[in-house]
Amino acid sequence: MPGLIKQYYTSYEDKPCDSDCCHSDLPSQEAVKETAGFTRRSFLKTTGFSFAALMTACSKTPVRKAIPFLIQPEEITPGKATWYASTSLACVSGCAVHVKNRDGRPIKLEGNPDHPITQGGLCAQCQASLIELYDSTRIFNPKVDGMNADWATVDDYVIKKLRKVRDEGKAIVLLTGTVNSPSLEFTIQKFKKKFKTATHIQMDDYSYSAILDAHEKNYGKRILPRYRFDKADVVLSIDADFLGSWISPTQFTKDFRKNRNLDAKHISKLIQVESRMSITGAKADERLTKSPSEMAQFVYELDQAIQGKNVKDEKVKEFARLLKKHRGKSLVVSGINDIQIQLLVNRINQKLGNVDRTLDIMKPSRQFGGSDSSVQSLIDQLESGMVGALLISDTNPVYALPNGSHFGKLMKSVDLTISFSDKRNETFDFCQITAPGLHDMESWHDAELTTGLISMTQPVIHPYGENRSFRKSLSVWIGNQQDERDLVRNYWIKVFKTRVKSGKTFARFWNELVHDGFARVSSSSINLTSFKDQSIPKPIFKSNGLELVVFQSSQMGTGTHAENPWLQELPDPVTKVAWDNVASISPETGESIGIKTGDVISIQAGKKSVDLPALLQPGQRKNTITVAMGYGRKGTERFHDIGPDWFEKVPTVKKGETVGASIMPFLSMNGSLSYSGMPVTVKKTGKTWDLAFSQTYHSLENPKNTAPAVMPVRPFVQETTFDEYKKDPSAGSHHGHPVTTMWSDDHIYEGYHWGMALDLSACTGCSSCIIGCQVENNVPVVGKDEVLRKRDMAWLRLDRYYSGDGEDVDVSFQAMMCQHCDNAPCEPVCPVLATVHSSEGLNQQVYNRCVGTRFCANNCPYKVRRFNWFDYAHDDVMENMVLNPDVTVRSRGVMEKCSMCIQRIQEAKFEAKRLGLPLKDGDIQLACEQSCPADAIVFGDLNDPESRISQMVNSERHYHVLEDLNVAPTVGYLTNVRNRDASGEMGEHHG
Amino acid sequence: MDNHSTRPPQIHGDKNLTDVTNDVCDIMERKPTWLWWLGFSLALSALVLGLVSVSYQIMTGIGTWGLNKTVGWAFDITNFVFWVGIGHAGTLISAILFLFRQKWRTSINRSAEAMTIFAVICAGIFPIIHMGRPWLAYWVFPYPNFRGPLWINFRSPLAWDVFAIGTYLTISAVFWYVGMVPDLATVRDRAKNKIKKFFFGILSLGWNGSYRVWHRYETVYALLAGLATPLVVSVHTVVSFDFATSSIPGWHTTTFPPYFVAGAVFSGFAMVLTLMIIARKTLRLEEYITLNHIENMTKVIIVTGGIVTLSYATEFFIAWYSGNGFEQFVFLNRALGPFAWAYWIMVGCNLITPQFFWFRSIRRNVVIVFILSIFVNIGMWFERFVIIVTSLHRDFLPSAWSMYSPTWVEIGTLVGSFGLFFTLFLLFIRTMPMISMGEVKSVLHYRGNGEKS
Repeated sequence: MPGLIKQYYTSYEDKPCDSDCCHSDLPSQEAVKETAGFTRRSFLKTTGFSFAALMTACSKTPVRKAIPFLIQPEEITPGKATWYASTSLACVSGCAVHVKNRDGRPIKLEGNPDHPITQGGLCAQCQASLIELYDSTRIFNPKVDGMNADWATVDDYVIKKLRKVRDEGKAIVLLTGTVNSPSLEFTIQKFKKKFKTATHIQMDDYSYSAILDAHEKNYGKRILPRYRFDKADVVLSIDADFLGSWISPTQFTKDFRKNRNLDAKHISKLIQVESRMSITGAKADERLTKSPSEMAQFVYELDQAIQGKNVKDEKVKEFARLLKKHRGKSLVVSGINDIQIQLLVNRINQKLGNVDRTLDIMKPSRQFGGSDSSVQSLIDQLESGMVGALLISDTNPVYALPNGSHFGKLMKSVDLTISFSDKRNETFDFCQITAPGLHDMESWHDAELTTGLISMTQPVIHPYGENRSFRKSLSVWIGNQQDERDLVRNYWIKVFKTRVKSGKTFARFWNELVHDGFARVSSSSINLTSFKDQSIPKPIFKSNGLELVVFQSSQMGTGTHAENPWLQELPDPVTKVAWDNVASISPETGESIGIKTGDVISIQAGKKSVDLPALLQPGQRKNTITVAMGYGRKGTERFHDIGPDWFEKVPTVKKGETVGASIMPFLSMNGSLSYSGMPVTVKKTGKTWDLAFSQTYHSLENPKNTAPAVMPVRPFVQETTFDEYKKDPSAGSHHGHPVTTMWSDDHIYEGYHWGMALDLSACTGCSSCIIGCQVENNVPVVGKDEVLRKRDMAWLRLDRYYSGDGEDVDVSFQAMMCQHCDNAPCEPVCPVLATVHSSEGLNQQVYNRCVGTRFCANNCPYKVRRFNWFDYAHDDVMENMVLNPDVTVRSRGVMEKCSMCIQRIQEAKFEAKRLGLPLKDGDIQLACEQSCPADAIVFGDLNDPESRISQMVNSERHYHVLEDLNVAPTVGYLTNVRNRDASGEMGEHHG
Repeated sequence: MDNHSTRPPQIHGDKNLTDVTNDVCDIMERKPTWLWWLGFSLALSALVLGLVSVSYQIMTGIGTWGLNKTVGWAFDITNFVFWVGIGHAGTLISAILFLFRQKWRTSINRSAEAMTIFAVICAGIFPIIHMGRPWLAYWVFPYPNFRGPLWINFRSPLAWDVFAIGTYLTISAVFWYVGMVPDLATVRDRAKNKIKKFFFGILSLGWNGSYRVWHRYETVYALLAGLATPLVVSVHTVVSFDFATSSIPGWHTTTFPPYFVAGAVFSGFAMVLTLMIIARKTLRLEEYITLNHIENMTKVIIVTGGIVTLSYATEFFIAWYSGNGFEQFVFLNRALGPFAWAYWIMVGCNLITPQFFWFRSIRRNVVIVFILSIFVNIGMWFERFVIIVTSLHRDFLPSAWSMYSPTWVEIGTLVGSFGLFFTLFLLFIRTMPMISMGEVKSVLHYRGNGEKS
């Protein structure tokens, strides 16, 4: 390919290997940089300038060798971050991001606030995906039969094979995850044209197929509606964890939050029907527990009731009444991958007039398009030996399918199998050829997440290895040698006239697309038929003992990121278990079969069996057992060595074992993949398992035998109902006795006085803030053994409390970090003045002064200080590239804690000073605040009466945790208001 | 027994001045017995175990201890307070009892003082090794420096500890040494080999036994006793401030200073008893450390044990009376929570044990007193453990509650501190006169004819 090379290096570090890997046979790459000193605060202002800079940066000089900057590029100032808009593809729903680049390395992802879908929110998975870029175990070379090869060899081999397969008339199957990239679709079309026997099958690792199939039956097109939680006043969710993991949780959280604005004195009502305890269930105003088989019954009856027929169940009647009352402003969703249920849900929404109001089918979502029946037909084809080539990208069938190992065996008999994954996943094992793909941060990509909205992914670093994208590989094999950028760009040049009708020039359109990270384009209208009702048989109620429910956890999802240490150490928001998946059982069922939390049980169905540690889960439906998918993933064996090494260390996983166990073989596949309701039996194994809980006591109620009469419940989470709130906005927020002091106020903050407030009504518990904090502040991962020893290092933790009994349980979340007390108890006790108060109200930890007495941590009433018990491993040179250079990596023996992202405060202050402008409210966004999809965290200047924080502090709902202690925290909380009757049947559990 | 006496004799066995000198010096002049060797090798082994543990911990990190994000102190500070407490009996015996002219103290004060010094050395190790970066321990001393200069935080109770412990070690060492000078001169005079003579010659500061020297000596001794007396109260008061000035329920308690001082004397006397009962048996000092001595010490234990009991009761009363739920919870949790076993060991050892000493027959039964003294030692170690760990492990936010269990490194360090203590003590009895000859001679019983018996 010489002559076509057009490479940009971003910095010397991007090319750590010397000339060997910088040969001209690299796929040509170009990282166009949007170059102006972009900060979020001056986003719009600098837009124009950015364009100009962008154009000048597009020089065409070929770069053959990476050398240190001889001539400093004008746009890169050492120590100053540059920001690029992009789209992270780590969660399949696609979070729009701004990538923070420092000295050529992406070091942080932040939500893109202008993007209409995720609106500035960012999920934990996308945040954490950044470290996978620096994963030294990625595949950096194409491989043939497991041996490294060069691209020329691979290409030759593949093209010959493909031709042979085509000529033999055997099928070439492209098995991919959902493809919503127009340019990739185009490439696939071209590929299909060239190889006539090629077919394209989409398969999602977690299938939403039934929703699409139901819409095909009802409306004539396989579509996934765009759900508008912002427009729904009543949401009835049947086992859809839309705030945690269902379809597009970040987007849904943003949307849902919009309709929960308490100041508007109008909030939506969320009813959750589920068998496990999800974070959506935790947020629910009303929650009903049903086992999967009862749920089918429930949906059927609900449909009957909506149609005006008489049903027995009082709850169903009540819900139907409520939904009908909010006709056109209600929304019923179901996460059950069952076509009958989805048809019923469609009928209910149709009857309620919700279609085109609270769910958009004219401009549907394109986030998921996988089809279970296609996958089934692929398996049939494989069995009949009709498939000559199988190209697998962006999906992991050997893991995700219930009969995955069978699928793997079938793959062995295919002439040509190609994996495009850059990870050694389960499917990789069965592929002859590996054509490793790129990380999102290295690739050009476009995604049409909802019809008519293009999200752009641009490379922000030169690929470390020789990887090239799936799109590029396909193109090369059909003889198209365009580089990565042009493959995307030329597609848009081609469709520019038809899809972009704004009168802009292409250059302008393209630059805006790359700069903003998204653009609206027109799309051909989809021809839906009017609603065709389907007859749906009454479900046969089968009460067959224990039913299994398999779910995606909000942190691990489908397991694509199981090799990500940040996500593995992020405790599940509900169970608070890190480094494992568990079999959750209701305490009642657990007691009846004699198992306790931590007992290893064997879940069995037919010949299948899996051993998992049990967890008695409050709020769980009796006779159900739920297990998170995404565990037991190949590649997690690497965590054997994670964590500090010392003589009592227990490895996170035993040699050769994986984190958790896979539950996927238990899924059933009859027409559609079923994730719930599979009958299983449970056996005790007599073994026990250490579960790494980040929180071990789960209630605000004192333990029974030690509960003092004056304080049965600790008043840290203050709650009320919406009815009470309307009567008295201060309802639920109990303030202690006014504290009098004999001392004069010696902390007078004349400049800024930073403070933070967290709205418990908004927080969903998604845990995205924890990862945001971890990435921003170089918080180390310590491994399971250290978590078990209660020595996790998270600066920001999410406290989770249960209240209530049995299945009727309320869950409250409370993010807890350093409260930056004005009268901080940690400060006077340090003998060496290592923790001191700033003139702006921050409690500051001075690492290099700390000698590590830990008195400060002992004296902290919130227990938010974290001690460096060991020197945490930083020997993986590659992973160290993700470290934020603005934040010290702490050494062994010093204390650390939330600094309120002091580096961000300082940066914003300097920037304001440089520009000669006053610092405005919102100019400083902390890492946790930025990533919060629920906008629950607000940071700002308490001295500015106009700031959002001041308004929140003045709110009647505002309170401090441990107010009576007179430590005067600057972090406050707003009461949690649940939209239920004051006399609510669920009752109030918090004092 | 002498019929003329109004009081029972302090020293039994009709000793004359020469007997005292011979008896005491003989301990260090004769070859060590197999018992000494046994004890010494055990102590040294424990010390080596401790050295290994501490070296490993300092090389690897505090993570080798069982501490966690909620329980930041456990064995380390428990051991520190325990050893500081042990020291208190020595100072009380040598200084306060001296000022009160309690003559019976003479035969035990030297060893008790030695015990004080060794205990304070053991105690002093813990604040240093408990630091995350012990190589920077010198940062806690206020002195002009090149780090800014960075002054220390005088508001921190840990900084006060530095002064309290520093002062205590200095005064105790000086007091002990000065008190030993006349005896060192005796050893010098008896020394048969030149090196020993030279060595003790230097240590005895040219003592010549003249009236003038004795006069000066006694003045200095009284002055030092006066100076050491407030330390008996102040040191443990300051140590208690580590907890009392904090914000944690169970620590934040104004009764801590007297409670800690009483506890310290209580445990100190128990330790003196343990050591003296072994010493009098193995070194055949029954005539010097008599049953009267033992009985007197058990009486002190009854009193201080009573104060400790009252303190425990007061804590519970105040928790109830305050109406503060957090406070109440902490105490209920102590008695009924996951660490209840530690609490009841503490109560059993510290409340019940002293009650046996109401009986004269038990007070004078050496074996039983020995066993009970060990129980008091165990109880007082657990008292500190209970205060530190149970208050921390479940404080305000239930989300942060955790448990604590020690690792082998911590246990090794605890054993090592005992090893250090006994190693030093066993070396002491072989190298220094362990009974104050000069003072014992002054309390020998006088016969009517003016001759000492």
